[in-house]
Amino acid sequence: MSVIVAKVRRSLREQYRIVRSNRLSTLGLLIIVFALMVAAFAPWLMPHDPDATLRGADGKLAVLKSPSWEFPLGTTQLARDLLSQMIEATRNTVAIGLVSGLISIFIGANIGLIAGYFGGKIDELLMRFTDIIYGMPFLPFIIVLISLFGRDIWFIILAIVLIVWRTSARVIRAQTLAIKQRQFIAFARARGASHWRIMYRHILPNLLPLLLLYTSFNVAWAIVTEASASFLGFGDPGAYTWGVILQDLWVSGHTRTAWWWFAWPALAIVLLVSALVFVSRAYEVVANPRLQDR
Amino acid sequence: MALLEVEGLTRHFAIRRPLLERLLHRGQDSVIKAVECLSFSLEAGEILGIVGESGCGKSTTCNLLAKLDEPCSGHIRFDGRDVGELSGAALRQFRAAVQMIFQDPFDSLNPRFRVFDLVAEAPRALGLMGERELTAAVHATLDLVGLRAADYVERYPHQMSGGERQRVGIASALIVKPRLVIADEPISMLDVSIRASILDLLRDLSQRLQFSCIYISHDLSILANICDRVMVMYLGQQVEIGSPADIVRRPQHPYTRALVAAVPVPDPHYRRPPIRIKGDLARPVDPPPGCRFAPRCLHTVEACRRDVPPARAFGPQHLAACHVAPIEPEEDGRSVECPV
Amino acid sequence: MLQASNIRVSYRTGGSSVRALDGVDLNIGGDQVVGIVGESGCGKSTLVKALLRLLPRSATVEFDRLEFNGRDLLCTDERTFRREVLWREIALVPQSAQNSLNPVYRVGDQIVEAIRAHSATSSAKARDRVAELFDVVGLQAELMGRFPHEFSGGMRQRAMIAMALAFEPALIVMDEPTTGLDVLVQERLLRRIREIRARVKSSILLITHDIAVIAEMADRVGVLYAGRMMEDAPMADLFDLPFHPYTLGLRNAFPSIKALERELISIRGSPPNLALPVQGCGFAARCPFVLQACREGRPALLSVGPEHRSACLRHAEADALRQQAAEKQTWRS
Repeated sequence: MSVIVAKVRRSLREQYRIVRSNRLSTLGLLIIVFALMVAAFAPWLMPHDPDATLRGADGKLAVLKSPSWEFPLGTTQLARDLLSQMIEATRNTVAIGLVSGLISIFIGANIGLIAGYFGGKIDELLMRFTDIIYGMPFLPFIIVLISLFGRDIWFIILAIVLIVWRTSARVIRAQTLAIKQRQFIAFARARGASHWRIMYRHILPNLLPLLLLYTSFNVAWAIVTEASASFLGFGDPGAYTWGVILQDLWVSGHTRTAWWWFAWPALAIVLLVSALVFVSRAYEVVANPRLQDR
Repeated sequence: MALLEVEGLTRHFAIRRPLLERLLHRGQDSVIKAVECLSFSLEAGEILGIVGESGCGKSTTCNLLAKLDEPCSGHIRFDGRDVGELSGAALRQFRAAVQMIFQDPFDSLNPRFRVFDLVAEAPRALGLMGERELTAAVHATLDLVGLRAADYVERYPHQMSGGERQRVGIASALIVKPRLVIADEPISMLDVSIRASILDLLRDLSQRLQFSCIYISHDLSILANICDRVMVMYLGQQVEIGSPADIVRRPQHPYTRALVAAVPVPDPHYRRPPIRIKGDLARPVDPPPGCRFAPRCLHTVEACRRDVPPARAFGPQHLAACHVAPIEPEEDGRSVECPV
Repeated sequence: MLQASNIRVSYRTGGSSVRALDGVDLNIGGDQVVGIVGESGCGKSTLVKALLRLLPRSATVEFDRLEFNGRDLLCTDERTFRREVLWREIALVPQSAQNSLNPVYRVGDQIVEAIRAHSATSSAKARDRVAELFDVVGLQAELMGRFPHEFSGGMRQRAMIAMALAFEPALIVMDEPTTGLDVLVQERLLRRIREIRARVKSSILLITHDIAVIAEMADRVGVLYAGRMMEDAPMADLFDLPFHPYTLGLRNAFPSIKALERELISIRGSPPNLALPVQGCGFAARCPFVLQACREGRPALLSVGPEHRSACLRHAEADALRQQAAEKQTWRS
């Protein structure tokens, strides 16, 4: 047990070192940690119920108030507190991003690993399947899925996962093909390792930088995708996300007047997505050492 | 009884042409005849060298002997049992009993494994030892190959020199007490000054631990130095086999003669004998019948292009597969200007 | 013809600096094959790159003197060097020359391009010249229209030599020309290089780790170790009467089919880390004949015979050392 703990600790320390090696990715890491904290402590951070209709100090309904001491991020047309909405939305967006990012990298990595390692007919089958997924346009796909099953957060995650895994599968397959040629794989075979042992104990650790790179890409992708789908009105109406807030604004028709209502969710999306991309840049250097000299 | 008996071992690979090309040219699929009808035996504790140029089938032979690849025909008998029929526990036992050592000390060790895990891989993969027994075995084996275990178990491959890595590679093969070690050019990528120490180690351990060794190389001078017997291969066929002295001083097959004559010798006063061979090295793709060396040989008779020459004895352990041998010295002495 | 003295090269990597070459002299006469032999990391490739100005910017290169055919190359600027010296006067057959051809162009066209890039030659004239060069290196002129993948390893190597010969340079530098070639192909290539030398009077600087190749080709040899020249002598002298313990060790370690009974002896330890300053002799840590003085001061490269120099403090005892060096026991402890 202690061996595993030590391994995990060593690995985490290495990841930390990689991310800290680059100034932009350090900034990215800070943003991500901030978003995670907000998501984790959301219930305690929210000053109001995000669905409550609020009155200002003057006793009037706080409709479309611009940011002030009372409502730091302003209010909506329905006199709801945007700060509370943003906190709740951060939690939902981060959850959707993480869950769909992790599930999609899990699927993509396994499909890529199996296709690349076994090759032949298995590879052919899995890669043609991936090609078919590549042929699916995202928005029509999610629209059909949601009109079939309803606007539920889990169907949105499902839709994102079904689309996002394809890129990671291809990249992992290519890298697996390259690693398969290395002599240490012949070494493992000669020592009697089974196919599964070779794939998951010998090849997978060497894919780690690439996996982390694509995890972070996939999470970013999932967040952007969720935001677009929600903005178009295919989000879960019961759960605030940044996309849902933007959609509410659009429906209210105040896009031109209430700048704050637009600014916060837009800023949040841009910041978190670019933070993820910055962090992944650090891994890109590790996964592809030739970039180091640039 | 011999530890290893190989009989008629053959491995062909089909090259499937792309569909379009097949339709356009109506060509047949080609066949790479990587190993053709190999027969030899190996005694316990013996070191057999296999020498040949690229494409001669040395590496395919390695893989076949270690059962990492299956032959198209022929048999390998290890310790009296047919390797092709092994399964279950017997196969696991065989996997432990036959181990390989690789050429490239920089590529053959997984960069994400520490020395301990590298050496422990075979017993772990084969489920042979408990963790405590394993720790003791790893330490003992590292000591055996001349590395102080305590200093090395925590290291990663990039923290070691080429020689140290190759010792780790050897330890990882020896930990399961193999009876046959197949070494594929284990020193060709090491610095000249330390090569001999790895050779010494292998030879010394093979005597102490009683394992046989098949040593594959393109460098005849190294083989001649450590092997009990040397086998020469050309394009998948076994050309000649004998003691190092047989091969180097009394080569019978014209290819062996050319190979011996071409070996670089570190002596400025050395006068190289003429090398009698024509044409270029081909690949064993759809080779013609008969002796594969015939197109480059200066002594061919009709039979060479028709029948595969059988191995004939030229000494107690010395076999050569040539229709024409022995070639009379005067006949061999004719001056032939070989195209360069 | 080429005189370079006190070559020093250091690479800056991360925080430390690596002394790849530390005061090496190199002299090459006309119509001479000079070999440099050494193990990986001894600085032999750095030497080539320093001479041809091919080192990356992270490297600092210093010479006390660098003259070529009476021309002071230290005063030659980058452009002039590339235009007038490189290829025309000093040509390089790079390491892994077999992979240096561009796979998407025909071999002949690539050499024609190289010639036209360095001189105002018409396409037809350049083509004739390539046909001539192909003949010199023993390739049929028809092969000019083929692609690199249609060539064997030995043929590609010869095509690269043809390219190097284009302007009949006074010096051809060959970096590990035989590495990765099969024995018979290697023998043919070396024979071909000797034949070429009979027709084209170029000098050759031959860099290799293979003592046998050096023994076969070189007139003079330099033994490089840890960025320093250990011994420097005419080939036969180096082989018959080596002075430096490292040379003695190398000779012991190299197998020969002419001496089947001779036991191979390796040199214990490994080369010093050049990122740390090397005090005294670079070989001291591995030398069985080491004295305290060897670790303190760096032995100078002293003349020990006609054109024969060795950097060993105990050169006067060379006879005794040679005898002891033949014993395996000497190299153990």
